[in-house]
Amino acid sequence: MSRPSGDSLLTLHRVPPGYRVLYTGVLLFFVAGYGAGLAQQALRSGLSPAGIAHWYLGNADAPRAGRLLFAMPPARLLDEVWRRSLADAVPVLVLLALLFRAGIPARARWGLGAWLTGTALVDMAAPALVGGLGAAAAVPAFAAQVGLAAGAALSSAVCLRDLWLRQRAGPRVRARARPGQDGPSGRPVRPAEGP
Amino acid sequence: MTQFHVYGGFSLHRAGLPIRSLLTAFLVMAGISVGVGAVNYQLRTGLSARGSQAWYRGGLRAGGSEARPESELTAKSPLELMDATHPHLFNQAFLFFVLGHILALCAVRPGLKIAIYLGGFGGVLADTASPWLIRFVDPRFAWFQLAGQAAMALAFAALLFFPLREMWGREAREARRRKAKTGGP
Repeated sequence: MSRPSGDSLLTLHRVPPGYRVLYTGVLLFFVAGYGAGLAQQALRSGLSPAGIAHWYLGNADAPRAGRLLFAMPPARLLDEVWRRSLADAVPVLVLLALLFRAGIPARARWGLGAWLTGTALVDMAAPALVGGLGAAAAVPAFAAQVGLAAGAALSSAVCLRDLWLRQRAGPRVRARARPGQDGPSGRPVRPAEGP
Repeated sequence: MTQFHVYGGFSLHRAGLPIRSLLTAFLVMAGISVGVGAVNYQLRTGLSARGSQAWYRGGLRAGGSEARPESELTAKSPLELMDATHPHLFNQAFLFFVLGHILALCAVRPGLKIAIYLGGFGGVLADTASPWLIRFVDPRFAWFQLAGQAAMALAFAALLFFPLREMWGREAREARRRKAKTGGP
């Protein structure tokens, strides 16, 4: 789809009210979804590197395991990676798209974007990493899962702040050229100030 | 797609045929997937409060009888419930996100759009929370689940209907109006 030039990018604090409701709903559900992912891991075998290792590698050697888990065969591990690739990519893409329309410093935006992308990639590959490399790989897998949830919550908070709070920071200012001024507009003039 | 708002007054009925065809195909597929989801619920719970209670708390399957042992259901564990909750939160919210963007480009009153979004998200929230409430709080929350599913179904119907009407019906309606106004052929 065609789109206008970059300087007319519609930032989050300028979107119409309908979009505000839509984006708020999606962000809150995504945060709840990541929270549910952590709860799911906690219920499966414990939210810890050892719990993740047990889920994929089995827990026959764990003397105090409450429930016996068998090691996943390679086909099942790949199936998990395939499902995660779809499940992780979609919310991260939406979060990135919204984050890059939020009014935060470029460095913070790129940093958060890199954080989300990196943790999502490790989280997608986690079943294969743990299955292939052993229990040691459960530490980065755990860090990626928790980091992705934290990054998503932080990105959502930034977007929600931009959607609902930034617009209230003051009256909207329309840039007006001073008499005789050509080319790019200078400092925006508040209507009350007058030229 | 929010960028289309930068073009003043852009509406889906002004989109080219390829975009309208693409969006129509997507809306039809979304409609089919929602229909399959409804059939899935029907097979599991019979789309009834009693069936939902049996599905989550254990008991006789909807339409089952005590003479058939396979119609006896066991109560869902927290992990089983979470296995359903986790993907639902992402999938349903994402589907609303995409369909909501398409609705945003229709000439529909902003208040109605917001009501559709709120109804849809409220329905998803009720649909996601009610299995937990039925299982661990009170079986009567099955009615809450049915209400949430009804809200979600209405929101989906609106999210499919308005864009299709905008893309394929508005031009014909305006042509008829012009014709009636001028009285010409």
